[in-house]
Amino acid sequence: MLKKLFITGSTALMLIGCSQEPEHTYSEPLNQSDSVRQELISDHRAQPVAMLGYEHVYVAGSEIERKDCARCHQPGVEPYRDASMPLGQDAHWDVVIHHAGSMDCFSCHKQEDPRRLVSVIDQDATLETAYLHCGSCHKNELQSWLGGAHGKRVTGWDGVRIIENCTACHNPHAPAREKVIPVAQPTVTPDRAKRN
Amino acid sequence: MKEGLEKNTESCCADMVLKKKGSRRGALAALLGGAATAAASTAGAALATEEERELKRIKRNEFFQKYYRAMTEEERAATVARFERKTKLETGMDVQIDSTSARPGVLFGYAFNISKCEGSRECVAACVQENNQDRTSNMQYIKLFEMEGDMGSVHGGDSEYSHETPVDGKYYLGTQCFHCENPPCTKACPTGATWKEADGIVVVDYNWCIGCRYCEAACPYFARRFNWKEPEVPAEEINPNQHYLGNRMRTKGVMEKCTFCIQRTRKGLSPACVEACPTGARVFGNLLDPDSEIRWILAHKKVFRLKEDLGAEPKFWYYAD
Repeated sequence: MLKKLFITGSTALMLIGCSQEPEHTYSEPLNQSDSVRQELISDHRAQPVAMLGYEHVYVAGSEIERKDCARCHQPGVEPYRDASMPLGQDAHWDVVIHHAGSMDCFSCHKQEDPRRLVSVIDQDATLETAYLHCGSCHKNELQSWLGGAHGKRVTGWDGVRIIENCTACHNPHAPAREKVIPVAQPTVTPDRAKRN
Repeated sequence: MKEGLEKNTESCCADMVLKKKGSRRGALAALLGGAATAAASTAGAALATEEERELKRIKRNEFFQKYYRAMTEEERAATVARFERKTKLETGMDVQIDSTSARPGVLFGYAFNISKCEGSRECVAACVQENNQDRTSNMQYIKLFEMEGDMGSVHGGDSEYSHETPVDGKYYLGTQCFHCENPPCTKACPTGATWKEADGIVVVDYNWCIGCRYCEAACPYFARRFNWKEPEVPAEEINPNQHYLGNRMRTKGVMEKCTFCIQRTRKGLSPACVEACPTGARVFGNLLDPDSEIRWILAHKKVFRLKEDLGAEPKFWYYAD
């Protein structure tokens, strides 16, 4: 189900007054030009989704990708271990894992290179393509995310579709969302509040 | 013709106006304009500065302006420029008022994920900020209801919760204007001040609204808001990106409502509530685009709408994972 890529020329055609093609009854995006698309994609450091049929969807980058795991984790160098602590917690003591009960670091991270992730969808899954890893178990969520029912789009409704990665909203080590204090609901009028 | 009358206003007397051929609206404007000029010359001290005189002139022209849908493109441009100047004189703020029309091939639709909304009310705050709602009466277009189980309607929901959210076992359902495809509100309007645009957005011409509130009574979803007092927005909080049919400054005695952020969505941006939502529970898009997210939701999720039996065909669907 390879989806149709937007045709760059059609906006220009519409501008000079040509009639729209009959099979496209919907309007072509406004921010259609290559330069605008590229600007949005580079602004969000977005990468196309590495899945067949969704290459026109882009995933926004995040801060975690800048962490330099190779400063400690190097091939052939055994990471520091403190046997009195759970595996991984000795070095990353700030990471608390609240995810599906009995998971540890290497349920998700590959031991030889922590930037690479375990995935049944694609063995080359990395932090940038975390959805390949998350979607290995959460298949319904992955489908909804690709379709648009789950997750958040960072660009407007029109034009290139850039969406957030799973890890933008969910802490991968404790993915359940935390409770929030809602924005205060103001009373209808200050006078009424005084009377009550 | 209208511009001609306005230019002649200063010199012409009532007889000349009445003999002149033209619309009754134009003649009345010219007559009152003459009267205003006479009053101004006698009470010169009251209208001291040039700015005050200009504001007076702008307000008079505003009072006699045409129906937005009947305006030509030039008249719309002139009207918009006049409102920009009015805001500048009144608040000192430079605003840009847009009058972009609907794009062909676009029909806006909205989907709301009741299993994802956390009830944080970020959408409400963003909406107030974006749409220049009155800060003193705390007008809001969006209401979030804390619901439990199948309540049948939002009437059992609590919209004034003030505790940590989400509460286990409860869900949050947001309402706003649903931009019905068959809107009862526009049929109730005696002046035609509210109508559905070609891209499906139900809008209000604030200058044609007489404030009778029939539309408010007709709306089955309680989506319309009335300005009981002159709306007040601190100058530094005014959103300068405005649309004539959207978030431009309103006055006392007119109806207003959610416009799907017409000033944003007609430029390809998403509404402020969608952008502000921290969970992505709000999805907005083009119903005519088969590749859009909203179409995917309608095709793949179990969706429902409120009070479907009324046949208003709201373009606002709720769904759950």
